Amino acid sequence: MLIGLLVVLIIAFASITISYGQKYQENQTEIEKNQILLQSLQTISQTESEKTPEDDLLQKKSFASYEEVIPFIAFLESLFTIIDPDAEVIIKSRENQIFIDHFANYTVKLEINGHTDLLYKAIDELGKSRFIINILNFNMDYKPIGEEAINQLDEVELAIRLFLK
Amino acid sequence: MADVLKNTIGLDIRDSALTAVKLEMEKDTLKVVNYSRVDLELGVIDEDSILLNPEAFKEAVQKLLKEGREGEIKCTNVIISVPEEKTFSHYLKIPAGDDNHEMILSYAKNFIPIELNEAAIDYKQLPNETNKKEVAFDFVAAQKSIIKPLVDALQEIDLRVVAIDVDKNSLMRVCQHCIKGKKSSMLIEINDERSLLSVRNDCGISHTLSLSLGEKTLLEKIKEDLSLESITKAKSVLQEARGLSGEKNNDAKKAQALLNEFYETMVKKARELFRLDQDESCPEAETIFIVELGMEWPGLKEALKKAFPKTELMDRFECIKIGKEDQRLYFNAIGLALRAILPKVHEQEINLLPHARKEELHASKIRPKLRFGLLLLSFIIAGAMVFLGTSAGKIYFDYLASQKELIISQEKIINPYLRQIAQAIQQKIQLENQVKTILKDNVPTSWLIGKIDSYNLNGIGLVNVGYHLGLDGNMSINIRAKTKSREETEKFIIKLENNIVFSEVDSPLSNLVGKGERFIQLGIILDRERLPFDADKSDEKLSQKEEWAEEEELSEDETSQEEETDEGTSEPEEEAADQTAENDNHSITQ
Repeated sequence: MLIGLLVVLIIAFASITISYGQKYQENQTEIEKNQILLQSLQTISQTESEKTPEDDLLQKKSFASYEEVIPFIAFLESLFTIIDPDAEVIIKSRENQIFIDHFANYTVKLEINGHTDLLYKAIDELGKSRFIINILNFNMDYKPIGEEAINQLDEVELAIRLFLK
Repeated sequence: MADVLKNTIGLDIRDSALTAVKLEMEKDTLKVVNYSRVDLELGVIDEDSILLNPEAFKEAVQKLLKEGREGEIKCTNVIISVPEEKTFSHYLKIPAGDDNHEMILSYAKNFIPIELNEAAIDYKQLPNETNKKEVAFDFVAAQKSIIKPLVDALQEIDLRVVAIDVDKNSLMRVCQHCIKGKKSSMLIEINDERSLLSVRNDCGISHTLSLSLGEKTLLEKIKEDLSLESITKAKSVLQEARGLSGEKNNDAKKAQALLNEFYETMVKKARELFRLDQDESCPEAETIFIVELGMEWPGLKEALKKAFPKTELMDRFECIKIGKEDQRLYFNAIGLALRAILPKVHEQEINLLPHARKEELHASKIRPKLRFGLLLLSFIIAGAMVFLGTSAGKIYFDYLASQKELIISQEKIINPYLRQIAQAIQQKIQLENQVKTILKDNVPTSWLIGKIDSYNLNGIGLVNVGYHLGLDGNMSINIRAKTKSREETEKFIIKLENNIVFSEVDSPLSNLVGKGERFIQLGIILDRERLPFDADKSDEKLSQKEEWAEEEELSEDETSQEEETDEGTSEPEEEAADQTAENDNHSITQ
């Protein structure tokens, strides 16, 4: 009788141990997950706070807004008209590209007229722009000068992409 | 069984007295540890052994145990007996079969004058080697109405009856124990009321004859025949008649004649018993035991000796270390106590204890090892229970603590401020990575234009340069140029190939065909990793890389100058080569 009672108690205790043991393990796993997540959140915020302004690329560059699509033509003109007052700056993208793909492609066609240095400077200025841009391709045509076999840079065509928000 | 018989005494219950004996076996002799006797008043137990006054009986038993010769008799179990004449004994032979019990009961109905349910019965199988088709049993039954009140009364004073013996068996047990090696024996027991003659052979078969002649009946007969005033007078006459020597008066002589008559009857009956026993193919009794009052009767031994000259007569038992007088008084109690110290005998002997009581005893008959095993098992189980209980408690409290910890961690995680910040930061990082990817595709245009323009030297006139960023991320340049000669073309190609920024320079074979001026077409793939300009790198690093690239070029120039010097010395060979090339060109044109 006593042994029977003890056996019943053992079974009951064993059930409790197994049941709560499993629950305890589940909780521990969940706690570990939470700790990892919390740690990653804290690491992210800490890294961000420790970051110097120089490291932050987004402080230097940003995506242009839709309002900037047209003014950017003026910006390009301002850069390149010093080289060629008749420089041709055209926006090549259609509306769906601008609004769906979030970029605008521009073409700049200009005659160099020996102002190669100015061209380099203009391109460097373009690179320093606060907007995120990419020169997809460029084409340079040379023409012969005089009787010497040296050709001079004549026309340059740049395909520029402005990335939008 | 040894456990059941522990602390057991033999308790002889008579109408006149109670006797108790506790025995111990000391080597081969029986040592009486303690013994006691209490006379009973009239009306406690009647002549037929029926308990009349249980309370007086209980008191007498308690007194009996308390007033032991060697101090209080400590016991928990008792073995009692019923008189032979109150039992129904039968030697039974039944055909050998499976269910002996049922058959015995059906046979028993024929010779037991009471209902079976009113009888306490027991039977023991006897050896029967002559006829294997039959089984022999010694069957004994007694009235429950005699046994049950005694057992109940004893139980009320915490004495457990472990066996109910038949007094004849008890007396015979002592005798048999004292004559080891003897095969058959006769027991003559003389009491107040009756005399009992019992023969038992080595096969275990016994025959009993009861005579209604005892001490008391003899005295009454003397009193009647001699017209004496009282039993006391008859007693004194008998005492005189028993005297071995000296002159005897008439009364004593008459009493002596009556006594002799009694002895003759006894011898006659003994002869009858021997004859009966001889029929059973067992030898004649070798010993005659005279017990109880017979031990005090002079002349009896002589009468028996005269009748059975070859038979040994015993009225004193050396194996029991107790005085002769006490042997007479306690003989039956000694026999009962002997059963307690001989477990094997106990198993084999008749036990008239009711069946239910036997079952109880059987249930309590747990062997010590088994009991120890059970105890050990109980301890193990209890230990396991304590361990599991502690574990369960610990696990439960751990679970509660973990539950609280989980809630706290969840609260921390679902902190909207922290999540918002982290989300914003993650978005920012993603954006920054996206920007980095875009800027990575941004070729250092001004540097590249300048670099390519620098090749526009004497002998090489660039016509068109096209840079293209492919969908696969390849940065390629197509150059169309005009060169003065094949040598200039080769030098130009070598220059381009030596530039580490260009990973691949593709020049079609047609660029080298023919002499003199020519238009050449070149395809160049840029090595993204070696580009000296990266949007995400500092100006200082960039300028360092540019310098490094220029140094490379200078070294290339020096190499080419050396080559030129070498070429100067081997002009005829060059011309020969040109001639070969022209010839090749010519052959292609053809």
